[in-house]
Amino acid sequence: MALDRRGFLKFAAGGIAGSLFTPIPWKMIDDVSIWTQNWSWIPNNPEGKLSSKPSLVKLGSSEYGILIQTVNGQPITASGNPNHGLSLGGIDPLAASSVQLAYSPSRIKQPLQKDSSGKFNPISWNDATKLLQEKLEPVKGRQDSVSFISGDETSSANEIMAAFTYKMGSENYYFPPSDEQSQLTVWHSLMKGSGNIGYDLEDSDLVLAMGANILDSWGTVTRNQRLFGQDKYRLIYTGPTQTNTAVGANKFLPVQSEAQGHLALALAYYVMQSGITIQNIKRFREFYNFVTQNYDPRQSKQKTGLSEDTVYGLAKELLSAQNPLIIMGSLKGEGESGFPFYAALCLNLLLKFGNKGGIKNLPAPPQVLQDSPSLQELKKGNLYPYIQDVANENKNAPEILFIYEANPIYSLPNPALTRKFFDKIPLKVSFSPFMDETAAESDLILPTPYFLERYDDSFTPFGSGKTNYSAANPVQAPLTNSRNTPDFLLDLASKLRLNINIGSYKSLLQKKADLLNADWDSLIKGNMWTKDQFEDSGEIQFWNKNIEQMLVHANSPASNDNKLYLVPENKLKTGTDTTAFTPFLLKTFHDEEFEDNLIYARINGKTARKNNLRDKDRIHLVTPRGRCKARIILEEDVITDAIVVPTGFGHTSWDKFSRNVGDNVNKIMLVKKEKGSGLIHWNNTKVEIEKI
Amino acid sequence: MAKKKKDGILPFVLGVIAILILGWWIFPHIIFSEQEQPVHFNHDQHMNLEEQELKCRDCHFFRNDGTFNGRPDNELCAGSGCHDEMQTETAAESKLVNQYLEKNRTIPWKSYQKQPDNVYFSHIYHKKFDCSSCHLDLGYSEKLPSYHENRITGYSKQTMKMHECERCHAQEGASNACFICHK
Repeated sequence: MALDRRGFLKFAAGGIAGSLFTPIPWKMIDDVSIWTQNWSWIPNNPEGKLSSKPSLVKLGSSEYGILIQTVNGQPITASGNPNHGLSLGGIDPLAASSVQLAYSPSRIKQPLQKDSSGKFNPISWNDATKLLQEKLEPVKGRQDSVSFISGDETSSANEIMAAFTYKMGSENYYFPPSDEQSQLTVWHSLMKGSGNIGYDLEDSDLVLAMGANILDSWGTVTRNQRLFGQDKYRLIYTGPTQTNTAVGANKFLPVQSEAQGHLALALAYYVMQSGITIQNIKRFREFYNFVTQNYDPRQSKQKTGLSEDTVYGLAKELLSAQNPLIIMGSLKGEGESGFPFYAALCLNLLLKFGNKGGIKNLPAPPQVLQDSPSLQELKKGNLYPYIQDVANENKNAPEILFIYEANPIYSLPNPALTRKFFDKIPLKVSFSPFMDETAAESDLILPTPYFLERYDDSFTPFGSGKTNYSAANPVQAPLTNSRNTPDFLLDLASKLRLNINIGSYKSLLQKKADLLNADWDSLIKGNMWTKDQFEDSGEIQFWNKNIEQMLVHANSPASNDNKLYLVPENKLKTGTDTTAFTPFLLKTFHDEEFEDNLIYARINGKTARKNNLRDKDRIHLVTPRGRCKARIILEEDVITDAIVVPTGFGHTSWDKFSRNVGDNVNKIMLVKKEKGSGLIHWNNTKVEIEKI
Repeated sequence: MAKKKKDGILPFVLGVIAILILGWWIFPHIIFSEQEQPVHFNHDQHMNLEEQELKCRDCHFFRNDGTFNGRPDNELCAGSGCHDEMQTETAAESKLVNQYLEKNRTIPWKSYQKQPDNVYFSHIYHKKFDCSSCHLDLGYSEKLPSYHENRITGYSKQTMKMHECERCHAQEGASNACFICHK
């Protein structure tokens, strides 16, 4: 049989028809579909030895220990550290995405210098050092030589950075504003207390959180959550909206942010009526008289918006608790005036102080560099007034501004003022590991390693109940050409002959551990050192001229207008001032939170009717400072006459995941100066609503 | 016309027969490449050591967090006085010690049952089943069988397919919802 064309076609047809009865087509379809899962550009899970390494979260929220799971030494995911006293096995959403964040496109790959056209070009570390040496040498010893903004209040890096600043002749060292700073100003300057305020959640049986979003963003979040989850304390929350803390709390009382201080004094009224007084407090009688005259049940109702029975009931709960604790805070974690902190401190002192539960007086960290200013001293600096003074030419601008892990261009109110301040300074140097808004406005970027890539430590973060100390080794080798800022500054100081007496940052951390009698090996294994170490609170004053002035101002009648109270709400899932939200966190947003690239502004039905607004209306929130675009969402968990807006949006730098998403509410905040305390504050800004 | 009659459907039938032979006998051999494991491992010898009684769980065990240690790592092979130094003079042990343990190189074992990354399989949820329900029964084997790798997918011939998982889930009354295995 010869194979002709027709025969071949028949053979082929037989082959094709017959193939349907073989595994060939079916197996090929199946295999090719599986093959598409394994294209070379699709990431796959690494294989190898699984282990975990301890680290210390440094993302702008409270610092605590976490565990980084690694495969063959490569970090793959993060989890809470059960052995760390501020984690207790818990992790917050931002820290959960910390491994992913190390690979963010916004990581700065090498030192960069801005040219005259505003474009960043690579510069070597040697050239950058030489450049700074040349700029710093002639201004050494001048008061306006340098300024430093540090965004990390707990790190010992501050010792080296502050020593550098002071040895350059300048005392311009600042931390960005925070609830902690406002409270300390009240505690130290007004009430003449000393030390830091600690919150003994472990030994408290009732916690009254006034605005402080303790289960979401305030203080030692994971510890707060874990202890609450273990039924260690009963929780009552007061605030203008039902935050995650309010949702979890045993009781929620809606109270305007502006009324929190009044509520604390209204409660103090009942506490003092029950016979509780404090004998050894100076001028307590004047405080007693003021509260009695201004916070009787009728006035309390008017000032807090809560019924007489509600306030009385709350006071009774506090009085019947063994160890009550009041935590005052703002929903944004910064920008609060002194009055509510004063009121809450007084109430805490009336109810309990120094024994189990309640607030404690925690000591400052020990100093390794004895000629460096103390952290307590550094925390007295107030950044916003300094920016104001330099921008308005009331103070000389520094020759060089250093910024470490802070993002004032994004986070401070009135960014135009901060930009004006920047424009006055010849050389701005950012140490940020990420291209944040402030790094983008700087002239030189000298990236510090990401927190997983460096040695660092943390001494008693805000919200802690006891003195504690944590330290961490690098978990991975730096992914970028970065240098740890304290070590870079030590090198620079040596070239400038500034004589900072420590060899390296790591040795400073080890010496600090020695000063505390903490075991370094145990610390870097992820264990937290802690001690029941409290400080004498000094001769506390409940009353003086400044306090009187502040209280009189707080009790002056509010202007009656149709504007709404702007409530900026900070959630860790939307990032912090120093860290934008990550792609990992995008999954936690509802569709409506991003619809049309507008942030959501929550109001209740009554407020909507009063302002002729409807669900999904596109609006501008307007203040004399500017406009912020948003979309109305009607929710009945917001108090009347308040509009709740999330923070963390409207980034203009960072990466494609967070850039140009929504609007930045910080830019429309109105800054005021509080009488008596002198504190600059911007919460309780009132806004007008314009429909778009 | 006569020529056409002569050929008839014979070429068609031959085509069918040829493809059936190719599809059922040849194709299964050429779609998989046959590979040997990097180190010759004798399970039977390890289970019958005179000086030490070994159990399966000594090398294949659940960690404290519930994850499963499928294969022992270098630390385990070298530790406990096992292969920190040569115990025998076999070529296999020489390769294990000299090429991997001493150089701290991970042994690139070929997994007979590797699931894709998009499948989340937890051994601890399946521990009531005998290992050999899913895996090759190698507990007392003297030689590791050849590894057959699919030339297209890169997976082992023994890799359990989704329909097998689903069938077992259905038989056992476990959920077959997507998110049970695909997170």
